[in-house]
Amino acid sequence: MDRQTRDLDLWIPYDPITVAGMARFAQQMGQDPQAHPLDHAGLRLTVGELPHPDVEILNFVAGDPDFDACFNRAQHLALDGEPVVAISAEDLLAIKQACAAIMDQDAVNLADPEKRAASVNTALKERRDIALLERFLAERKRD
Amino acid sequence: MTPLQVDVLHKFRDLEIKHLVIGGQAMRAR
Repeated sequence: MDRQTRDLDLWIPYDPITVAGMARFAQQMGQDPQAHPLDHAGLRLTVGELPHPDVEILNFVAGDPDFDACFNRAQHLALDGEPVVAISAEDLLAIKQACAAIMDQDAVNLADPEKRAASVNTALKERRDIALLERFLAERKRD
Repeated sequence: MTPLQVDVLHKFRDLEIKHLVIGGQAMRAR
């Protein structure tokens, strides 16, 4: 699937082993591990210059799917020649559908008009990805 | 991918941090 994107989004769990590894990672990156909620949902750690960081690391995603179940269904692929473990298209579709639903609600319920507009834009972007993923899955089923 | 993105992936691998690529880059992966 061709989709123009720049940032790399990484989803991690918050089990003790990952928390310990992330504390060391944060230190290596010159960040204070104590400043991040590594051991409970809510982490959003960025690497690179804002407002368009190179990497965004999250320990929660829309719809709150089970990390290990998604990991077991993931695919070992390559990204520009670099080996990566990528979430399955089915699981990514479910996350994007959950995200679009949340953005639809925010677009109506948020008090700040700028945030409402941002939610509308995000929902549109997610729906474009949902259409791409649905087409990809339909073509794969046909093949 | 940018050099910084590759560096983060290498650090994750070295530190054995379990992770999944999600979002648009997951859609680009082959």
